Amino acid sequence: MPLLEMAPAPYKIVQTPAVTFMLYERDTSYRQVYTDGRKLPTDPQPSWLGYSVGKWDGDLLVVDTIGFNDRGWLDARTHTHSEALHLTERFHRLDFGHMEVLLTVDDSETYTKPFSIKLNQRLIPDSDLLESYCAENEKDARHMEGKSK
Amino acid sequence: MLTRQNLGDATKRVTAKRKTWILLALAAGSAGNARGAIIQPLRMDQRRSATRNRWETRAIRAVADRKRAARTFSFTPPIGRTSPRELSNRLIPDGTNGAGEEPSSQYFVNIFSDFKPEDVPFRPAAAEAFRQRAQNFHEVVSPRSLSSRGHAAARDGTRSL
Repeated sequence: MPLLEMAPAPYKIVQTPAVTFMLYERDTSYRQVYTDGRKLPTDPQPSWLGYSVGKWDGDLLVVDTIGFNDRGWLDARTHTHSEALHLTERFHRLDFGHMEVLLTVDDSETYTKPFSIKLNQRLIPDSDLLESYCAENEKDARHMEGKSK
Repeated sequence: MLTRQNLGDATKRVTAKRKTWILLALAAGSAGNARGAIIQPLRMDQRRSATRNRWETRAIRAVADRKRAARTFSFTPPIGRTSPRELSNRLIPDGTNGAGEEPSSQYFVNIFSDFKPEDVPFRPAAAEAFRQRAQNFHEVVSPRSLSSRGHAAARDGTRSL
């Protein structure tokens, strides 16, 4: 799942009082982060993106996610995880155009200790998400900007 | 044999029982909600009743703090998606890239890029599985997405999309 937030494709956050939606351009996928006060389920249905609940801690939106299946990768290097993965994300909007995301990976079946990484992200104003599927007919690359093009 | 008389009788029987079916459906729905049978959103194919999820119907207990939120909508891709190829070569020495595309952040390529390889906190079984997967990567994984080589070939016109 962390691949989605680190992927070279944007995502959109839509915030409502009871649920925050994260719409990912990559694979045209989405997450629902419930912020209505519910607890994490005790026996969730394993899924690719898990089951997420969120709460506000001051300026930080803290999202806890469990219920992953064991088929996903943490990165392109193919570091894997188990169904025991507990992912914690702390979203901190530093200013209008920048956001910091602290990811903590806790998977006691695969790794001996939790570890964290910090992602620095920036706003893309006046744009929109493109439809994208991991299949033929790829159309994203031509819209990429930067030195790697 | 279906006759006008038989059809009329069947219609009367269904009409007579309709009120009973409605009452049974309402009772079942109320009972399900009362005991909290539905505790999280279900897939559509799991929804057998017409009752709404109780999370949708109950009052919202906690409302997100919006005092400091400037906007509701955000686009936030990672900074530094222009990582040089040297970076990916260093992070993926054997060329394994399951995502099949140009890397953006160092963590997208290797979530343990802050670690020395020997310091990655693998459990033994996970370390062995990772080692085997890296050795056999190109045989066991066949991503349908175009690889970075595919992107380049497509741009050069040497491979059709």
